[in-house]
Amino acid sequence: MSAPARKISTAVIGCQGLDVLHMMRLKVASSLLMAEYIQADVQEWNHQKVDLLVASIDDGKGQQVLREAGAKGLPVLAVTRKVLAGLPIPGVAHGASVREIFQQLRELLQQADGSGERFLPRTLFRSLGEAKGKPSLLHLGLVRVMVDAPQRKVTLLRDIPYENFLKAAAEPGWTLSLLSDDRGVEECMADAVSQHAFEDFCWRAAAMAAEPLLPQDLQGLAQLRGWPEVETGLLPTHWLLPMAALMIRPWQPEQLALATGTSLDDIARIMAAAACTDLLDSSGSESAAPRAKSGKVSGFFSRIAKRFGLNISKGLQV
Amino acid sequence: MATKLVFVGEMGAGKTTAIRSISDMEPISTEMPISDEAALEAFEDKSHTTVALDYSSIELGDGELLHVYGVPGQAYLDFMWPIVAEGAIGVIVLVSALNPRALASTLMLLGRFRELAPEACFAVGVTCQDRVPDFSFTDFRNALAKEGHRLPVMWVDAREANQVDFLVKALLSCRYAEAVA
Repeated sequence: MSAPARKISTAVIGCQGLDVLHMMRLKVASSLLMAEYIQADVQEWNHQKVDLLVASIDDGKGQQVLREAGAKGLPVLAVTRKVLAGLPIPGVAHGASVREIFQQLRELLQQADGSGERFLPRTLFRSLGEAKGKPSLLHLGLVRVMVDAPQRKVTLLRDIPYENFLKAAAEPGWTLSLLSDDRGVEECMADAVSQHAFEDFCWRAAAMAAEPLLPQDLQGLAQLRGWPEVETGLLPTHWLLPMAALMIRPWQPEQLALATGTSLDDIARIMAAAACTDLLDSSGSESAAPRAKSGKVSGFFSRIAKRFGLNISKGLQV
Repeated sequence: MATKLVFVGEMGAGKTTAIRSISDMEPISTEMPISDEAALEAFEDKSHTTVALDYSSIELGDGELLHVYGVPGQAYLDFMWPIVAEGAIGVIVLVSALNPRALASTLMLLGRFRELAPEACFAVGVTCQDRVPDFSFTDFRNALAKEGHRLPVMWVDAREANQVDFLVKALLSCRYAEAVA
């Protein structure tokens, strides 16, 4: 088994004008960033180069710091007794918890990362990008799983409900180890509790996740190569129509959302699941261009659809 | 007007069971005891098989009916296929993972029924998942796609109404998308 493949990013967080309580909470919150593979160093800010500045802005000095940071284009997290909604910059309330500070730090560092990759949350799917098609062992707290991409199998190595694992897959903080040989795989299989199809895992996790499993290009054309292997009946019913449309021809995501009466967020989640399972064809070939169709279905068909619980009243108004 | 939903598949694929699970009435079946000992061994929990066809219906309200047919996929019974396929809104091919000729059988049925019902939409349900853990669903699906059959393919337990219902939903979604997309 090799060492974790993920490189640790470093971030320098400057602070200014914080009292002891907030300084302590900032340091603890910064240490939690290690779950995202970000090693954060908190320093008193003396105009040195930092990735993010955390500052109390309630006095004159704080306002001065704000102006200077603004001039440098430096992202700032304000700590203030003022109403947060009225702030021109991100902020946390005086007395904010470690968790609140951590969430803001993570979000701001991700936003400040020009490539969009350096500080992204370490979900299971982002971690899998480092597996490069090899079997890998992933864990998050007590959840331990082997993903064997070549065999298209996911093996749970802890006795937890599969649904709990699906939910945890989109949470940050996963670590990955590549299994470089068959022996590593065999050792993992000795702890196997249950095995699931990789496509089932990805699509159902995508349906449960609040966000797409991975960022998607929502500008180009995309089509489904095939119907995913998912336990029947466990995908959202409202995904069926966009999935069916994606089977027929390539779509630009916004057009598909509009045409099927599906939210763009759902379309992005479908596309992300398809991309994770190699079922997304983004080549957008001209041979599969839109075909001229009547745009109508019979009333009889509508009644059949209704009988089976399909709501097509909003769908495919093209 | 298309008023039929057709299930087709070889013996033991689960047609009668699937139709029963989604119908409003007990299907009218022409079931006979299996006399072939080899078949009895292959389908150990099955004593009867449909020798002609199954028929059932689903009420849509105001007296309208969706007619549901189950038709055997054995080639020697193909004289029935044009009659049943005429006016089909959709055709669901059921295939057992136990069938060593699952792919060839499915390709044959899809090919024939696409000719017989060019306006229909198609889906494939693979049954007996629990009895064939080594069946490669993705290879099966990809092989169908390679032959030009881009359609919903899913595992289905014909005894589970919600699974058959979901397969029909996917079929109808494709039908709708094809009609207007």
